[in-house]
Amino acid sequence: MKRAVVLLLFAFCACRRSEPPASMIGTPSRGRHLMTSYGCAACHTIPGVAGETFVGPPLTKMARRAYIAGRLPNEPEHMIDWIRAPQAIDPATAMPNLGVTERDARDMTAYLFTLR
Amino acid sequence: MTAWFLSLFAILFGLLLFAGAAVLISLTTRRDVLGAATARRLISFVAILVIADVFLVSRSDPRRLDAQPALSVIAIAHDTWWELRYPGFATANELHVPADETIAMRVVSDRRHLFMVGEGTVVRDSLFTRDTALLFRAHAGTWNGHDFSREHFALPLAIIAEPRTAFDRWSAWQRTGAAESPSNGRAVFQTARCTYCHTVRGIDVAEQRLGPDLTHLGSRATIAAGLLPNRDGYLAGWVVDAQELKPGCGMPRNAMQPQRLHALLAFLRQLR
Repeated sequence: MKRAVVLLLFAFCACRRSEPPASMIGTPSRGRHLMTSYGCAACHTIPGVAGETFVGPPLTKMARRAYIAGRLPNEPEHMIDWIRAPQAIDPATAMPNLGVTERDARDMTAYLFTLR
Repeated sequence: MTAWFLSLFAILFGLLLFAGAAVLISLTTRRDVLGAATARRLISFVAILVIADVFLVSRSDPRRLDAQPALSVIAIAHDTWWELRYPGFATANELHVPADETIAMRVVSDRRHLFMVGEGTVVRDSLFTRDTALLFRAHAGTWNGHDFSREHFALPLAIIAEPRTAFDRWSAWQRTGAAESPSNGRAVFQTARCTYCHTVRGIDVAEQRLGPDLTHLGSRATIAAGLLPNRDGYLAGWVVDAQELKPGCGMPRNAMQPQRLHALLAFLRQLR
């Protein structure tokens, strides 16, 4: 009985919104550098990338946010889709399509999911 | 020339400090390190040398460069950007010159400035003047010039010295105007009043030349006068909220409707 209770307690520890660790999505460090080359910080305040800007919403604690751009549940695949083609998800968004490749979007998403 | 002037100035300044320290010591203690009279003579001597040095440098005439320059260009230092007037066209912030040829440049500013370039390039600095003509010759490469009169920061000027053929290709391209085709973005460029400050040759002439010529915006490596890489994401952030990126610059915020913004960015992107 005691063993069952202990095992059940361990099982409850896993009860949180499940998501793969950031390193399984892509390479977070590469993603951070890509944010500089694409110019994401020209509009977004991003921890780990220089500058504070106010054109788009801040991406602080991005991994904890429930939604992307108030449109999509915040999950890695959705984030990759959003980065690559914002107008396809929200035609009225001000975020431009920067021609981000699949691999680059993956690494940038991996970085964003390290921001807790 | 810059290196000579600066090292001489450094030596003289050192002597001045030494003499000043000697005077200070003899005044505060009873001890005469140099002898007050000697110290005073030394200070006067150094002061005369400094004045003579400054006078000579500002009058110096570099005869070892060709009297006939290969190119004449006017560089006007506006508040936060450089206007560059070549024969036949104007551009901004990036000064292209043919490498290893004598260039005549007139540096103009609305206030007194000190214009300096990396060692080995500028033969004569403009010292505390508003309008100076100087001659220089640069080896191939990218050099950084700075105007040090700006209140908040040194206004950077990228000097790109390239082979004569590359330079001719660049200036022929810069001389052309923008394509005439109408587009939504072009309409936004006009209705959003960008044309008040910015010229795009072939499409509009600015009402007041308050901002850089954008005819060949895409041909420059940076935007915002050397501050940001010339890439789509940075251009978007700059157009919408230049004040956050470069506080105090002349470009206003433009939080326009997203559809208009995207059309405008598409228009700007094809100004190669």
